[in-house]
Amino acid sequence: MLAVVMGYFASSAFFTVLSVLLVGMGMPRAESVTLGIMLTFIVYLCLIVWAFAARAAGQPVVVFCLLILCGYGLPLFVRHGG
Amino acid sequence: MEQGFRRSMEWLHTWAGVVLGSVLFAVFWMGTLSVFDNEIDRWMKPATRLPPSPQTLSLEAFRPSLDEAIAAKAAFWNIILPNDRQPELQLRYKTGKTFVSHDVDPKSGRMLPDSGTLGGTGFIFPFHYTLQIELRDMGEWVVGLAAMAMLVLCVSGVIIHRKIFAEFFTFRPHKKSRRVLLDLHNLCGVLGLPFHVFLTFSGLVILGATYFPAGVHAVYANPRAYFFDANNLSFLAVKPDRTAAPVVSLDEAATRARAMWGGDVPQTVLVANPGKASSRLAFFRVNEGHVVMDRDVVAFSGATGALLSRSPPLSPVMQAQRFLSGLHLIQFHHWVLRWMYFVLGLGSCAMIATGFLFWQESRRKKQGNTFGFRLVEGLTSGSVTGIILATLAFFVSNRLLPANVHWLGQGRAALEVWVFYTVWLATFVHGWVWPRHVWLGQSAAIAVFAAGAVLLNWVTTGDHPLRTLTHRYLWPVAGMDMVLLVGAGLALLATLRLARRVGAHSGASQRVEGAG
Repeated sequence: MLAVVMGYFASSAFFTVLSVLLVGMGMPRAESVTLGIMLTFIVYLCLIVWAFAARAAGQPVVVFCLLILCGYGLPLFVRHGG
Repeated sequence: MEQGFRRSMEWLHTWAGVVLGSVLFAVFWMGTLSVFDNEIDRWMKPATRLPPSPQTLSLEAFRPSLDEAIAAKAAFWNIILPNDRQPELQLRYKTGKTFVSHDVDPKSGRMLPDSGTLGGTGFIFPFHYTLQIELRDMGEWVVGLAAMAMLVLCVSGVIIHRKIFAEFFTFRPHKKSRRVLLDLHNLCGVLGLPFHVFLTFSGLVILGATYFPAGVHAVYANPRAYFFDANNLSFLAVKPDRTAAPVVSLDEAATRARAMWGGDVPQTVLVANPGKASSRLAFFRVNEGHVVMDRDVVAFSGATGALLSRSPPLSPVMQAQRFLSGLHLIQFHHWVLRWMYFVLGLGSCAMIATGFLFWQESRRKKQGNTFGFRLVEGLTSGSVTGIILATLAFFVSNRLLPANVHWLGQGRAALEVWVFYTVWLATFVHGWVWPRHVWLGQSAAIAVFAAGAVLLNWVTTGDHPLRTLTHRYLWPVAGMDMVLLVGAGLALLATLRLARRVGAHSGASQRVEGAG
């Protein structure tokens, strides 16, 4: 449960960061979002497997929280109109 | 560590499989049928079984329908032109929240009678990715969760079975049934692994913006803006206005679009905001020749005929995404590949079903009477044979319900869907209440329904298998009849096998009782 829900938000956060970064580096918006979507599913998959494989829940939880903080904090500083 | 990792993956595989296996089977089953959605439409809409016509009417011939849409203040109006898999031409517009659609004979322009069914493209295909749950995209989320679980299952499955190449050649039909089930599960799983992974992944990517809205919101004002931008449809984003203006000649614009495409024909003609000064006239190019769905669009102003935009060539990233969606949606025309998708899809269904059965067989002795076991037992029969039976009931009701029937305020198309759900629910109840003979009963019912559907098709339309096989344009109907017959035969075989085993069992228990 933890892996599925937190993993979702963590990969969603990864997606946000990636999209903002790629647009910042000058990639067209549609492309960066599309690339983000494709990579995000792979990241989510890896996160789930990792969380289930880890012997203690501590390590994944810390990493997930960090990712979530980054992902949902970043848009507060970077504003892109659309 | 190695051992612990494998153990945790086993646990994950079991739980993800038991919890989401039913949804996965439904999605895979409907997806497998969707491979032939247009062909199912031919079967379910006999009025559209038309011989192909060498030439079609000019687009201007459909001006009356466009005028009708303008009078109804439609948001858009479109024509889907006939193609290799779809002999009829479809006219459609949307007013308010209702869609008005007509099938048209492309040769004469005659409106075909309404078939009163959603058919393959209207029910089976949407069911594949929404489960027909319309409440706040809930269905899409459930399918997404199941798809994610499918990826996890593929990964964990591979990890559990380290000796993957040995499994490849291992099938021991004469061992105990539990062993056979596991072998079959591994065989389907390993043989179809690339198919399972690619189809699941590409399916997720197609709906990716729905599942991960956060990244889209970070860059765009709304998901719609992303959709327009990614599909070169930005010309549609216009402020609505009230100034009336007629739509320019459709044929002239079509000729200009064809000139730009080097003679390729359009697949779809779209008029957005018809009858307004801001109306847009767009042509979508056919996409039959290649896997990558490039969705080339040429857009004109509907009022002046001025060229507004043409899709630029796809960038590599977009090409990758369109390759994945093309791989999944199979809009390209290749009959052998289409059948391969169908067979591999059935293989995936078999893998899920055998996974379920293995779970049951390995627990029947120990926990056969627990509530959890009974729950899964009913769930399995309902979600495996049940959905097959419900689909067949959907086909049968399509041939049995009279045209224009209305019952309890439901139209014909809705009634067919009700039949589907009623039968499906009944199979679950059957599995929970009489678990002993559920497989026997349901496979017998499948055999009867499948053969009955073929027979009913013959009786109600006069298109018997010999006739459909000898006319090229009826091959879609023939194909569906053949698959139904083969299915009926297999179900009959399964029934006989099961009946013999039940007979042997009761004989054995009687002997035991006699000895006691």
